[in-house]
Amino acid sequence: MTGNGDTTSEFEPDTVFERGIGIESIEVGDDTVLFDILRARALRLNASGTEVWRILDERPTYHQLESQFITRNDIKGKPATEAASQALREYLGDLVDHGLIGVSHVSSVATVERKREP
Amino acid sequence: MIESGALRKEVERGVTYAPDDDDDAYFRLLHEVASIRQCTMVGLAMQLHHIAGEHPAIQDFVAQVRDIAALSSVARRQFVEHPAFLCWLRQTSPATAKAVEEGAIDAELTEWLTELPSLRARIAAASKDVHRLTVNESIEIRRHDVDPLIAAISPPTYTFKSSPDSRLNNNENGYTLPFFRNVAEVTLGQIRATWPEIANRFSGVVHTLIHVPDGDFRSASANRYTGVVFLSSDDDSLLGLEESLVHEFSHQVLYRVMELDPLVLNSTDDNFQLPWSGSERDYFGFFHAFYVYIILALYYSRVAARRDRDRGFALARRREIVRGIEAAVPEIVSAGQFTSTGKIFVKHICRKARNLAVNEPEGSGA
Repeated sequence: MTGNGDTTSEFEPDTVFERGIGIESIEVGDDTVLFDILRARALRLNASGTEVWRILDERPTYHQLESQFITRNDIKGKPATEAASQALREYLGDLVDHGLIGVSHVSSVATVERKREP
Repeated sequence: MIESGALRKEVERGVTYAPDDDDDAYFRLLHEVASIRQCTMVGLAMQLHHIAGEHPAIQDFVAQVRDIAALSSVARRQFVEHPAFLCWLRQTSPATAKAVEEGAIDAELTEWLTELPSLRARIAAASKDVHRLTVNESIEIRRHDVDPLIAAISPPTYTFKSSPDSRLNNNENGYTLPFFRNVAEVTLGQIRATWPEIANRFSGVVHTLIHVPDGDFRSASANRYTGVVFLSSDDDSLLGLEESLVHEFSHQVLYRVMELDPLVLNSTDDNFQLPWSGSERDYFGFFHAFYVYIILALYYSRVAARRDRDRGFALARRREIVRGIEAAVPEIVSAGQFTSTGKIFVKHICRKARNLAVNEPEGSGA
């Protein structure tokens, strides 16, 4: 997993992530190939990216995603955890910039859901 | 289409993939190349499914690709590292790009897509062939019975005869292929004793040695058939064959690096005279030769230090090679147009080149 280092995305703990619309994926080995139907382009996620992509299938909040990522990679200690969180934020920023994932907030999702109530 | 950012980080920390660089970086390079190849194949399937998912040839192709993606990592890697697979991928990628641009599947693309199961069957059959000759446990030794995709792309390096009976061909050229296999085995043993890292890494980048005594070259390789090395009978000693094998090994390593990043962007037809042979090459060839001869000079330093009987020749050959390297450095730097990773890479190999000139071995007479 690599971020481009230019993105300093700050996500709220309750920011919800989901895979982008029109993004198909196939896992091959440690990697995942994404095909962006709207832009007709294929991209590759490496092993760490694949792990993030799997977690994204559950529409996690940032807090849940970060927590699962750190647990699954057995990252321990404050410096390592902070470094992993920073890398994760940059990586998610890249995915957002590339239009591969969508973000929303629990509050706004809840608003939409409330409107459905009779 | 599928990009890799992994190489940049390695190169930034000084890795040149020469045998004196760490093993881990080298094996990560091979892993990354295999990943890129298999992901490119999967990407082609996804693109084609998107534009013509109902086409029977596309449906079969996607099913094949899903099947390959589900193979064990060892089996999948063996397949994508086969030179014939790379030949197939390099033909199918532009044909797919054309289909995507035109929104239609033409006959040429259909032919390449339907070739995939045949290719898989041929590779599987070859790996099970109990009569197959190998050296260093896995490197195939062949003469005329090569995969048709490799044979088709090998000219102008070498044009295979149309005779399908390789056994006849094996015996019409002075000595047999099994004899060459033994010679290659002994030579790789010499290389292992001289520089174990080269012998350990050799089979990672050289899949097939094709021995063609009638070849009009001493040894040859090209990136269009990466993984294949041609050898003729022009080496007149084991040390000569050692040089040919180390030379071609170094080309093969650089082909893998350049699969991940082109390093060199020169596209003009300018020719450069190689200081080592006087032959002319474009910048890509000049750059390759520069890299290869740095490794050869390092190799001859080790030969001189380890083998009394070859010491005199090794020192003289090293001196000759290093003179050429010294002459080449300024032109490599001034004429090269590099990618951002290539700029860093060339800085590191030039440092290696300058160190060769500074660190003349004792008794070299320089």
